[in-house]
Amino acid sequence: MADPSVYDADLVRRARVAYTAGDLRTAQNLAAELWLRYEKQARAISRKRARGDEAEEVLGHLQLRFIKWVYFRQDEPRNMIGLLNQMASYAYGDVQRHEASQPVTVEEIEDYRQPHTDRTISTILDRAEIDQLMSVLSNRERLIIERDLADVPDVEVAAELEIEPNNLHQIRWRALKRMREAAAQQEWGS
Amino acid sequence: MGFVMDEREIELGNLLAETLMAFDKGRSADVDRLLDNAGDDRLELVEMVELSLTLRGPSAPSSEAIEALAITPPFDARSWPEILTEARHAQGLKRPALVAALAKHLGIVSPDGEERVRERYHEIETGQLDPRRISTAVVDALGDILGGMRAVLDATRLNPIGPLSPSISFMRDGFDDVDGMVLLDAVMAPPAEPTVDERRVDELFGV
Repeated sequence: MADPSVYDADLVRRARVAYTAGDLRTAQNLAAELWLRYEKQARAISRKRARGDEAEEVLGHLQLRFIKWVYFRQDEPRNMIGLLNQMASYAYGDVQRHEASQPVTVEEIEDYRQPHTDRTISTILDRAEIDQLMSVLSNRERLIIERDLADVPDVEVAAELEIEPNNLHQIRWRALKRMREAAAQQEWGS
Repeated sequence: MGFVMDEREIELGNLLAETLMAFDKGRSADVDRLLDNAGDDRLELVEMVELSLTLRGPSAPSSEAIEALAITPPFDARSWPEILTEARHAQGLKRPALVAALAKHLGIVSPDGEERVRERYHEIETGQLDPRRISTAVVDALGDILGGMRAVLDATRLNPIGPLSPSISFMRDGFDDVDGMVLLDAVMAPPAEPTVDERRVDELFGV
């Protein structure tokens, strides 16, 4: 699996070059591609900050901050999930300010220059690091996660393991929990 | 090795599977309902969803999806001076007509208030006033006057206002209906105490 961060960095670089050259259509297409690559993750991240309609508002502000970051910032992207998590906390602040009829600002965007140092699951960059994390799993747990990554339907995986789908879901839940705990505790990644 | 059944884990595991399916199908309302079904474990379920999506890696969007999204207001990379000027021309509006409509929308009827609206609008369209600071009422009014531009104006308030295009830079010296010498006189004159309406307009424009 190719390192997605290399592809992401290229999209960002090309978007900024296009914007600077006044080729806004290209810049907009590249920013849209980058957003769509991570839209699902952004939807999940916005739901860590708020619920329901408010989560959708957080998502809107998160999207806006993300796009402005692509166009107008100079810093290199390293990890989109980490960046989105960082932006989501500011996006939640944007929603609060909007509700209080206070102007929305981008001063806090300066903070995006700080490297994302939080050693959590959101620092995952590539397949090698996923493999490293999966080393904490049992063979059966690893197989379930592998099949999930390969987009194999749950009914087929359950049949392969001769277990009920309910059990499959439970094992997957437990496996993900262990991976998350391992990510928080271990010195993995760089 | 024996496997311990845990009803809560089964429930959460099932919710995770269902939530991911709802995510894949873009059913936000279902996502929210399923997350809420986790009760006190909602945040943990969200984090598991995020982890699952992170492990899967980024999506590979179609070119059609990219192009459709790229033309939506949040992706508009133009500055406010560009947007306002283009939209005003597209509507066939001369600046005095726009200013009159804007003052009316804002409930400004006095001549001194209208004059201050004209000055502040001039500053916005020439990139001398930061759109981030202006009130929602002004954004709403401009959006209506310029023909359904509310979403575009709101999404682009944070875009940088410079460097300005040569045509707009030229207009920074004054619009064709503004006498440059009058502006110069105004700059040279000592500032007068603002009237009530002038203060109100300044507040609306974040000055």
